[in-house]
Amino acid sequence: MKKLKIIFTVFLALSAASVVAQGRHFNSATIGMGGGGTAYVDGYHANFINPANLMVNNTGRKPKRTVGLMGGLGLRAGGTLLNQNVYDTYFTKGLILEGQTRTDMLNAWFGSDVSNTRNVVVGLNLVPFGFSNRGKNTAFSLATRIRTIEEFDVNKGFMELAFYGLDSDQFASPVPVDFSNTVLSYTEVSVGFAMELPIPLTGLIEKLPFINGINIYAGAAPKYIIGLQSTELDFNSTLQVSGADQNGPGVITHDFNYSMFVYGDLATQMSDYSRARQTDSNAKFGDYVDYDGSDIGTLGTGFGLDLGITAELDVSLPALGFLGKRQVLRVSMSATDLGSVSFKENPKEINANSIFTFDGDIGDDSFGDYFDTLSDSLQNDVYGGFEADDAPERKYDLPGMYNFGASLTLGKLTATADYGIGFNDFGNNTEISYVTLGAEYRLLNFIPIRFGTRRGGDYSAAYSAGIGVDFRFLEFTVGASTVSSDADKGTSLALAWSGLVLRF
Amino acid sequence: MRNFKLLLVWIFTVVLVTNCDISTPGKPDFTTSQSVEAPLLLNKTLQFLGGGEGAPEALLDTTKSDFDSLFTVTDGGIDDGLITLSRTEEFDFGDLNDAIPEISAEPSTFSAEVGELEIGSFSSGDGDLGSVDIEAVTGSDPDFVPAGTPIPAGDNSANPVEINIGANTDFFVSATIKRGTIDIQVTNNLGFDFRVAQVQLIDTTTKVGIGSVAEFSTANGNQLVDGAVEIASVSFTEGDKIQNLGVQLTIFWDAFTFPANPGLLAVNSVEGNGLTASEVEAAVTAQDFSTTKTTTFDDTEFVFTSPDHYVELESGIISVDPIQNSLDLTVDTLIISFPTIRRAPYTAADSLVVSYVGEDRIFRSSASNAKTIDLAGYRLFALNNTVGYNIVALTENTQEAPVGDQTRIISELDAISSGVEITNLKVTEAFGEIQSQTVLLGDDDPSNGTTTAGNDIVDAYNETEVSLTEIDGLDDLSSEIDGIEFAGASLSITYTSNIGVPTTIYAAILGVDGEGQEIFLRGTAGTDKEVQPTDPIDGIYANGVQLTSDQLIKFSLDPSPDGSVINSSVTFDDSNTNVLDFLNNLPSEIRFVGKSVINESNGEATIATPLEFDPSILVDLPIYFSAASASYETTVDGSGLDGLPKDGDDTDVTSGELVITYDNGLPLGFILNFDFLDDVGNSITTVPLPGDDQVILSAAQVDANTRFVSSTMPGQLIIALNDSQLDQLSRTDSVAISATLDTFSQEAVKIRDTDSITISISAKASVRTNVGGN
Repeated sequence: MKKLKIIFTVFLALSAASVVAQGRHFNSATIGMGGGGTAYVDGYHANFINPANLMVNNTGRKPKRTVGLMGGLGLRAGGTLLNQNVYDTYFTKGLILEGQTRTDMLNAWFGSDVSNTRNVVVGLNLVPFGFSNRGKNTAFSLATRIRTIEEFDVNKGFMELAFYGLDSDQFASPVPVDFSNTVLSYTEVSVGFAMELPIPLTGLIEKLPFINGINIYAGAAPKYIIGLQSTELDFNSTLQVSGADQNGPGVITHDFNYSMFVYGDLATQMSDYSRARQTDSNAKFGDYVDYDGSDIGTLGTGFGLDLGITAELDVSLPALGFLGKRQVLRVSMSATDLGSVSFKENPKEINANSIFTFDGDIGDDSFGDYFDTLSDSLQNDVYGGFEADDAPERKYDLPGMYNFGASLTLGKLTATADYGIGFNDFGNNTEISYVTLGAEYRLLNFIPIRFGTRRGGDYSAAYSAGIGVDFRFLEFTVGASTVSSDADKGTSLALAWSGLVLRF
Repeated sequence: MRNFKLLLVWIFTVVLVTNCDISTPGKPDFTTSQSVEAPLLLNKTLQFLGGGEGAPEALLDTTKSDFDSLFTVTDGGIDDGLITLSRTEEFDFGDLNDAIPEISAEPSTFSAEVGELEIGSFSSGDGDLGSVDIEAVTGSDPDFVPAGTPIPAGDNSANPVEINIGANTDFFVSATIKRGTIDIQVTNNLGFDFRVAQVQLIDTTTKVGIGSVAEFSTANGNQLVDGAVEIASVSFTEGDKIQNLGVQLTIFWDAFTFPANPGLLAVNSVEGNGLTASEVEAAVTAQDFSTTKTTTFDDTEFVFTSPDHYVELESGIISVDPIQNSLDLTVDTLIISFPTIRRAPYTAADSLVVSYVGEDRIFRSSASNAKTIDLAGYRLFALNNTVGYNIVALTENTQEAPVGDQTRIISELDAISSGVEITNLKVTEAFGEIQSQTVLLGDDDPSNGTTTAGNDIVDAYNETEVSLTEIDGLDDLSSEIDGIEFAGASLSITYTSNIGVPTTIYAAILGVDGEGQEIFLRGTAGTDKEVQPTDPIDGIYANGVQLTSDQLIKFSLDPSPDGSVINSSVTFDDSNTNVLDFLNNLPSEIRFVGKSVINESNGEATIATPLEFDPSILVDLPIYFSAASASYETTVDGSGLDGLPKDGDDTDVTSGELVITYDNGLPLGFILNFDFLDDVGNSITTVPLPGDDQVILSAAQVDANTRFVSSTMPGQLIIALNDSQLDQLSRTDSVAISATLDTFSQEAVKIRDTDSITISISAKASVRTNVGGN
């Protein structure tokens, strides 16, 4: 029971993670402030959100140079499969999930259509190294980021199998049982450059009310992308269970087909296995497929680009003058993750299309031998009976976004507002626009206390917070975000850590 | 101002938090309910006997080690296809050479004395030993006395003539006479007649007479008239010693005329006549002497009652001790012959001879080397268990020895002596009256000692001594099944043997089933397999206890007519033994100990090594039996069920059911009961529960004549467990399975290897799993 509780704790944690599901890069500061940061994030993280911000010193106290060693870690996970409403309604009240209760639960979770799907998405960002140098008029940076995105989708029939078992009543007629899983992992090496743009009519602008000065920065961060690994599995099937009667002991029929894209050594191994099976029916999957990951880093390449522009205004808002002397308004917009990564090292498409019928006919085998080898048989002869064909290189668009944001710093208090919309729906990215709001108060000037919220997008409203210590020369902060329960959009959770950030 | 800014932060925080709809996930608390319905087996046909690559699966897989070679199938005939459980086990008793009689001989000695010495000629050459002329006798010189001169009667007693004959008895020095005479031949050519002539042997050195005075006279019929050659004998007294031999003649004559040409009075010869001496110093010719001795063999195991009876030796040694030669003569030849110890082809000319000649000759006053003769391959013809041997010796001829070494002192007590011993006799073949021999079959463990009668003990439970036949396939079955009655079963002992002697085996054949229950195979009263209390069964034990005659069986071996290996067998069936009871017990092991009694009648027979007796025990158990409510009980480990959920667990199996649909082609039906037991043997639950339908698998129908299955029997049986039963199953430590077995109509049935049962099995279970909750 303790184990189950732990599992459910993780389950809930992952479900909360999806709240902030988005394609935009995040760190401990932005995650604590709702997930924005287009006009706020500076230093090497700006490479991935808004390269123009390489020119920004958002606290006004930071030295020119920033180095991050393990300079940022972020994890977020969530999805519609992680439905807290269904959980609260059916999984916390001591119900026996059978009969109508089970029907209602699955309908509430997946809807009435047995083909409906729900998903879980997990994204991991890791910045192993980052460096930025901010000059008077220009700035540059170098940063790496490892990004792993995994999406798992299941349909209602899949869950019916889980909650009904091999029930001849439920599966009297063929029921679709589908799932898919996509994994994409790559490393980016990003070089950022930003500069202050010359501004015409500067004097005129400074004569506008509340504006004491203005700087406009533009930045770009091209990046080289190394594909680490990718698989893409799509499994579709129907399941039918006929119970025992006077005519026989019944039949279980699983009509399935699946495809999977694999690359590199794994593709070679699976292809070898497929060929071996054509000549040796006793070929064992495990004898051929033993992927050790030694080809990671050689499977694919790509290029990407992050662009941005930021207008930094020294404002004078007399009404808010009590908040501090330093009053800075930044307005930014950026386009991030433009580009793609192509996996072209030995791409293979694995395909299988078969019907597994289990009727108890064990042929000449003995009962014990048959069931002892059943799992091997299923792995090798039934579900492992695939064909491996050469495939064209597989190209994945990066989770590109358009970002617009503003931040207002009034002394120790900073408020941010962002708008974002993805260019695709891959992974955490969404083509549904959303906004974020966030605030940071720097207690004692080195303890940033951050709050934020996010609205729109694929998921329900998210709420976030963050804290840590952020000295002039050192930063160590954490942030977290979670989502409220939503019957349709599920839930999610995001966590981030600044890593060890040094400034000099 | 600072406070105001902080206030703003708090206000923002409170507003944010109060507007957040962040709900904390509740504690999980739910129960899933899942069904599992799975076909496990579809129309699986299980043949009664078979197995192996490509063959139908079998209830009894004869390719597995337990059943390998256990079953045979009748091919053809009315019982075509009938299965017979057959098990053959070879016993390795080794040879029975212990039955070969052992013989031993007493050592013997011999001593060949020279004995009395006979003296013959005293001369080594031809011609007279000595002579004198007429003047020496009469004192008348022929040169001065003319022929025709009358000579008055007279004698020379005052001056007898001496003729020294020693110079001519060159082989003789002296002799100590025991008895006998010396014949002295004298020729009178003096030209006148001797009325009487007295002859006396004298020592020419001492002038002392030796022996009696002999006389030539008319009265003795040997008067020495002129020209006569006569012999007179001198007799001796024992102890007389003759040496430096000379002859003294005292002559008495009547008046005569002096002859014209007188000749000589000559002593022609001196010859011993029955003259024996106890000691002689002389140059002797070759002396031969001989003796005969015997040695005796014991007759406890073998008696030679005919000259034809023999034992042929695999090994044996004749040892002749050093031969002591006390003579002052070299024994040039000594032959020890054993006329009745012969090698092939065993004629008299093939007898054993031990020779001492040439370099082996036995020098004077010394001893020879010892000799040993390997007797392997020899036959002893020892009528009345006695072997005689002859010693013949021949000494050197010293007369041919170099001068100076010719004369030797020989005493009648001088002897040639030695000892002869025949040892280590091991018989490979014997023909004669072999005394009854008892030989244990198999190894003897000396630790269990002997009986009070002195017989070795063999114990059916002594693992060193017992010959064990394990019928692996029956091990479990015999401990679990009861009430089966077999028909037509038999147990045989096949053997190869070269024993030409009548041999009877007395044995304990003990069948032990899987539960340790014992049944002895015994002969039916009045049959030749029955053992009588008076039979030699002393020493046949089981668990340290002497077995009685009704626990034993006996059988005789067919004798080999010519000593060659023959194959034969003894069958124990219902007519002569209790073999049906014995095999109905389903012995998983058969223990055999016994002894063989060879030539129990002590009659004449031939026996030879290797004495081979290589038996195999053969169990033939046709699967032809009847069962009327026979019971089958077994207990299997149920601890594997401890993984099942129990009452109060988060997972609960609410129902479980196995549906078995069958088409039974076996003439055997079952009523099954399962009793689930906890670790102290208490029943947890049963299947079926009291009052529920029985779990029955019905037998196929059987042909009234052939007793084979004529038509199959379809049916279905359900083994179902409810929620409360399933809740308890996790406590199961073991499952006692009991079955009542009935053959069709409870009559005898036969099972063919191809008889089969076809079954389909489906399983259905409902499982509830509770997550969270209290």
